[in-house]
Amino acid sequence: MYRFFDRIQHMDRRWIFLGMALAILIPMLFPITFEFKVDERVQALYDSVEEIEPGSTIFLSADFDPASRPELEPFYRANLHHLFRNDVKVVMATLWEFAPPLILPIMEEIAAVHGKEYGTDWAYLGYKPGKELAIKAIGENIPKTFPKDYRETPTTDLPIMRGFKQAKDFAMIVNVSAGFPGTREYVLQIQGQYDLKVASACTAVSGPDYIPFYKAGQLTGLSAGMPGSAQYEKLVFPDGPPEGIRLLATQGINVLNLGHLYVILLILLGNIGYFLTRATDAPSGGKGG
Amino acid sequence: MRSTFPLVLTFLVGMFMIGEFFIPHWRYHVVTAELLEWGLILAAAAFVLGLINLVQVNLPKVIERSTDWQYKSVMLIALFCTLAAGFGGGIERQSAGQAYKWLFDFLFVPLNATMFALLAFYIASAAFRAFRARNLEATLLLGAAILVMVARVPMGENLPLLGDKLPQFMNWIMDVPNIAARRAIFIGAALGAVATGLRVILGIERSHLGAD
Amino acid sequence: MRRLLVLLVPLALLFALPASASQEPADVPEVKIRVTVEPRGPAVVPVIHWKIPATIDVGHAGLYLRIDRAAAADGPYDQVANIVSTPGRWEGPQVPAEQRAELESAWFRVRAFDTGAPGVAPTMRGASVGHSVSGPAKVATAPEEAPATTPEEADYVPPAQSGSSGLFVTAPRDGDGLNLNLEWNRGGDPKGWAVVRRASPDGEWKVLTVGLPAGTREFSDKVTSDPRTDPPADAYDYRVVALDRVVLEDADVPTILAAGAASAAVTGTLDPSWIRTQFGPLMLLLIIVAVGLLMWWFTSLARSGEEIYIRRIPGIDAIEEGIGRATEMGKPVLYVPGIDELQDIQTIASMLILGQVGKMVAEYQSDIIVSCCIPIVREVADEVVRAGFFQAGHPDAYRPQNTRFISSEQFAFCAGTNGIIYREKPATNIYLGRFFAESLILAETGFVNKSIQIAGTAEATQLPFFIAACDYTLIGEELFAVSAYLSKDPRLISSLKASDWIKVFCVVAIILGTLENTLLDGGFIQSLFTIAAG
Repeated sequence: MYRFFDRIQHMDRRWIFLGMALAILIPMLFPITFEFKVDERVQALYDSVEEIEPGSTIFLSADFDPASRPELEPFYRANLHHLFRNDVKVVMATLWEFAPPLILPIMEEIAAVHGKEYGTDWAYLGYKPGKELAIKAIGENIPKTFPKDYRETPTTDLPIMRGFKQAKDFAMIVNVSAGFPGTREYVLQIQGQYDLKVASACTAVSGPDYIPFYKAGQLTGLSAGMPGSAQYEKLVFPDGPPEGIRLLATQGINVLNLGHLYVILLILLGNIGYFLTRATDAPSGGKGG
Repeated sequence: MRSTFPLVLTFLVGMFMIGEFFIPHWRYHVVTAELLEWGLILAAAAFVLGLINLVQVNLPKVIERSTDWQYKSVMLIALFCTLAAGFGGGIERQSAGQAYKWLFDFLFVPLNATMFALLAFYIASAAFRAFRARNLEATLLLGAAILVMVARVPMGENLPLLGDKLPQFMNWIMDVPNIAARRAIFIGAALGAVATGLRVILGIERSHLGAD
Repeated sequence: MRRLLVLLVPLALLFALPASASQEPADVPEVKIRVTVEPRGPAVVPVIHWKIPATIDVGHAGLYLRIDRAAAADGPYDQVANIVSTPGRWEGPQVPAEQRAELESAWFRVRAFDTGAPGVAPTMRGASVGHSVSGPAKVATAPEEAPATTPEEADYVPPAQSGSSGLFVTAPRDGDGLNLNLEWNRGGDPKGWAVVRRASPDGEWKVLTVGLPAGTREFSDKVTSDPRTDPPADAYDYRVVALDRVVLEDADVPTILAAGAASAAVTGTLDPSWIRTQFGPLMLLLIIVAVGLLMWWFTSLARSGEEIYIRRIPGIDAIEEGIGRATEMGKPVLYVPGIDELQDIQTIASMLILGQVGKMVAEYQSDIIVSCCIPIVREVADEVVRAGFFQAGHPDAYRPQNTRFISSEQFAFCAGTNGIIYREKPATNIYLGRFFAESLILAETGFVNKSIQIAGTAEATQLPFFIAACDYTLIGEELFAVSAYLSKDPRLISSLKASDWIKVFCVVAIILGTLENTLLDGGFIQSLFTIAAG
């Protein structure tokens, strides 16, 4: 037993990687689904979108890249379905340079499903570099920040943009944020200054950072990571997805079950081995900070 | 003069930009907006310097056939191919059928996702190595981490007996100690940032200028 | 004595205040409401407009409104809605037009609550006088006041039978002088609203919008998008048109004015402010000035010979040890200044530290590789390290090719830096700056390479990864202390003391504010630190 745990303590990392690979692959191949509850923050996000009056226009800042796609694309898709289904118009832009090839095709696809017309029901203003400065500029003057949309049409000529000059003119800002620049910058730069309604979907690692904003009322709702996206999908499609629509996060969350359990098992094994071998091994070097 | 002028300039511009938060008048913001645009232009211009640096560092190693020169040649070939595809495609470079779009969809996206996916494996190995109950604080950390990990997934919510309580406890951990600690770090870091900013603006800190 | 002053001043502020309002409705500020009944086709709806008074702080925690209805003024009231306060308007459920009289005679009550806290019920912050639905025979029973001149002070007037739309044009408080807010209280059933404007008094009328939805009663106008090229006039005239038909976007002004009932022209004067007068920004300015004054004070103390104590931080001590280790092993030091732009304060702090580290590396006659994600950071890092080598007296030892720009893409940079770690095998890795998802990958790669790793960031999301994978981690403000700590310069160390004392002030303010909020139901201390919407 001692020898077993001693070997565990010093095993090659690649065995750990192999175990993690299996923990991800097995539930993908043999899914086991569990019912899950909707978190209060995701419910608040859904409710805040539901409260938007039909015919209103929201500003959607889709700021994610291929790395964060599994966590955020499901929310992005579900949110577009939710908005278009409720006849809410969407003006979209992005602050991440690698987002456009991801977000535009999805927007076009979902707009077509709901019969929404470009320029009247939705618009895409493109990518704006500048990070926090771009967000500040969005707060001050959107046509100046995005003089033309992605089709080179002057922004002020778009019917959807008539009467919308600044972020505060929109009913809400929805920020799908993979990191920086993202929700924190929207909250710090313009939410407080203009008292905007801002909802956020972020990666799981950023979720704890944005909870204080939600608690302070600066975010109307918060969806964190794939669990948040799955919960949002559940709210948007309570009876299951229509034909042709896949609930990516709901499928993906089942993989998390085994993955988390695997990490917990590793931690427990490591600690058992640590206590068993502690008598003979010297304690490891100090960690400052 | 050579060391004084940058300090004076830093002080004047720094104080002016601090004033932007406190002075809402549009005449003031016209000037600060101009300064910020200059900063953006400088940063964009530095990309050219970055490109030159990449070539300067790696090309001699390829020519001299130094260690791992093959990887550097792959990097340089990729760099110039992407540049060519981007310039060649122009505004339409992200449209279907363009070489740039192909490079993005079939090289960049999978590679980016692969690197991010490495985190899952590295988290496992880091957690295995680092999460040891060496003392009380480490044990508390360990316990909280396990509880949150279990509660975050649907399997945890469906555990008998604990299934209802775990998400509540997880929310308490996220809402109370987590927020308290993050706010403390945030406030401390913000004050440190103010002190650092003032040090640079007032010219007390000069190591970035090389003067002493 | 100094500690006593820091404690006494906030206490004096707290106890000098009158006790805040109790929870009885009579003691909370009044929320002015106006209730109308408006037709919606074959149905009618109650519509309530409200104004949250400035004495209630809305911006920080947010307010919820409970709307109750009763048949008589003294109740019993039943809750009909529970909503956020920001729209300023609520439209109730439709009822058949036959029930109009019943709706017009109903009484509505609006109460504003804060969001409460875990385990603490929400507290009522304001309440309305029970207003009946205003119709031809009824008026609001508001307390008598002097005639008001601004919409915040005025009682809302009953909707006019014809003519004036009751248009108010005001400039926001502490504004930049480019915005004017319009509010109007005309009832009726317009198809929509249009707004036209001219530079007062003789400019040409210009159409601002023809597409405001029927339920709109307010509009915010930014008079110019670029004051540099199009400076604003001092005042503007506005007219609001209740459209009785759909108007095209490109219609001219006369057509729009003829398309419905137009208000008289109302002049709004821009009111740019040179200073923000809310407590929050002033408190922030005070804190910045206080940091500066304390820095000066402690520097004076240091110059007068007094020793300034700062505690040991093992992570910072490890930097020099790590450089020594690299020299012994004949391996370089790898320094990664984060992946954020140069203007980020963590990157600036990292550059300041890099100067010290470069100097130490030169003194130890070792090598340093700096891996940069942003090109302009690379340029600054190059100058900083060069200066460090120069100060150490080894200018010729500096190799510019060791300060490298890798890639501005996060994971490409991560992959490139990993490659440096695998190939160059640095003995010591120093990660100081702003990091994101690549932090764990870098740290784990360094661990495999058996490097000593010292990390420091104020990015709370990445701290757990660094703590798990690195030997030493500097948390939050410790990153900003490194430069002062390494230089041992009294002027820099005094800035650490200054920020520490401000932190003590913040802790005391938090404790007192919590006590005030909990025990006295007050919000004065909170209001001091609130930066309200501008």
